Amino acid sequence: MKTIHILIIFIILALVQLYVPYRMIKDHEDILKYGTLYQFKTKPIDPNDPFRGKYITLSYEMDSFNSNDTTYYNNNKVYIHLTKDDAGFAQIKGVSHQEPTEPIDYVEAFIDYNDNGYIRFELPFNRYYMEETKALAAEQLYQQVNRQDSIEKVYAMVYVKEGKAVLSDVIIAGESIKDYVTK
Amino acid sequence: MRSKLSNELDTLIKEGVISSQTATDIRQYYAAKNENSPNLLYTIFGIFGAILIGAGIILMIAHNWDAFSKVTKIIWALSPLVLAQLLVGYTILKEKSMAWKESASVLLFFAVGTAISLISQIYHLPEQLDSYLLTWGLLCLPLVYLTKSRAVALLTLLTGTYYTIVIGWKLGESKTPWMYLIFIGAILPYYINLVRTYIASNTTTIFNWAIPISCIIGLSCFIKKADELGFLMYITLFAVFYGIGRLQIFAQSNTLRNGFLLLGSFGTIVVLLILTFWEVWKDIGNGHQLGSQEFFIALFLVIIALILSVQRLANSKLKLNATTLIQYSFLLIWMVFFIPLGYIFATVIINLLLLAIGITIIKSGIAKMHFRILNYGLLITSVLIISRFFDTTMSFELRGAVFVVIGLSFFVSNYLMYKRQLKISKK
Repeated sequence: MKTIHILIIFIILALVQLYVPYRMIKDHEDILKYGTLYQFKTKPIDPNDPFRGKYITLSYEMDSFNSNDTTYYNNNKVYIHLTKDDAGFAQIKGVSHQEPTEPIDYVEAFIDYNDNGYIRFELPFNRYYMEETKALAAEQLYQQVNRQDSIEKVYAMVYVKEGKAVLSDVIIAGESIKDYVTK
Repeated sequence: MRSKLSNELDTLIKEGVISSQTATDIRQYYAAKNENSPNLLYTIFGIFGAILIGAGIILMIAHNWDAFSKVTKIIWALSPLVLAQLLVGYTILKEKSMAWKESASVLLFFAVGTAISLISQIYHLPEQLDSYLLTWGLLCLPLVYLTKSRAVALLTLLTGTYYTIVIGWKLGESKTPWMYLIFIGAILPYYINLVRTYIASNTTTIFNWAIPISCIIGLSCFIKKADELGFLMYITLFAVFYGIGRLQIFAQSNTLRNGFLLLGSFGTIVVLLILTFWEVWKDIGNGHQLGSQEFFIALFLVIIALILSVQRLANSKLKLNATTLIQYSFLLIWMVFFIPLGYIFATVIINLLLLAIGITIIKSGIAKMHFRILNYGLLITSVLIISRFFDTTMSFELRGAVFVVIGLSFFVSNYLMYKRQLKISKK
């Protein structure tokens, strides 16, 4: 093959290589721009869960539902239909196996286990990346604040659009965790 | 090296061993050879330099500076990718040396991984290692053919294998990593070309081992529901490896460079050894799932194994020796699997087959006066005998005695062959 042909194919490859991150950026920016903002109340995570390095692991109060449907199996994908309570926090409106067709807000989740109708699921936006030096302090702070009687003060801000969600910030006492941790 | 050769040639001319014309011919031969082969040292340092720079960039940016705005972070994530792309484009356009192409391609490989992982980090995306590895590998796979980079070929093979493990070894995961076939299918033509062009090179040797190891790991990820067919899949895969290792093109290679042959032989022996236990056959049973993906994969492998076997038959006469027994043992396993003669029959026949392989390898080792082959045969036979202890209720005294006899047989046979070798060399 001639050099020019190789170069042309390489340019196409380079464009594809650039298109993938571009598409990731565009899709997530669209969610941040046009999605609906929900606040998800967090709860303490397992303190034995080892520190992960440059991110903190989040756990949400909204993590289960009851159903008589026996076809909710472990690792299966489910769609959690969302609504907001009076304070603006996310609530479960309904659950379905299939992607909802009506224009409602929903997020994808994965079933952890089904214990005789008590179904526990995991929301996918459970990682908040932080600067390496702040992550450990932030995780400790997150656990400490969650243990106190101040659950309302800690929540995640998540933008939702067509089943996809983007975690934009974690708020502690009205402040971003990034700023709060430096105090 | 070169000056040492030159000095030696000067000495040989002085001593009258060779003529000055012969010395000039030798010098010209090495000069031409040197011109055709890439400078290995430059290439190796280039690749390692690129790997270190790539890893360094990942670490530095993964530090995740909160002080940066999102746009700055995105620029940081994409700039190594664009720079590496420009570098690779430049090496292609200017037809730079292999060392340049290898280094630039490795740098681009890491830049692609960095870009995807950093964008995921900027948007706090959850960990989806399988899709990350798949995207990374697929985006770099064409580089193998565009820059002919051996390092990228190896790195994409590693990425593809890792992707397979992430899906295949996950507990409770029912997905099959079919995309692995794209990785292995894309690397194979490159590897075949490498074998045809540079059979004796060290890079080819690395691939001779890396490809079969990747396939051994990969195959385990395709065994889902019909796991009893796993033995059939593996024995056939090892027969394919052995058949490839026995191809004429590898005939001149050192055995240690022939990963296909060694892994094929060793893998066949291990699977056969497992199948010598009657409990295994009892578990396997008779009701095989013929419509399963495991069966179709085994069928695909058996077609390749049969083609390789027929090719061997066309090139040489069939002799009853260790090579034949190892290469064709898959046929016996297929028969035993699908003809319902009971697990006792299956156990006995596999024991006899493995015993025959062990004895023929010992015989071949003695005939060739080759210690490694002799001891390989002794090892197979011994392990087979020791394994039978698990099936029987022998007394400890008897077990001890058998161990002593096996140990002695190792010493005696090696000593006898050593003596025979001495006798022949004295003659």
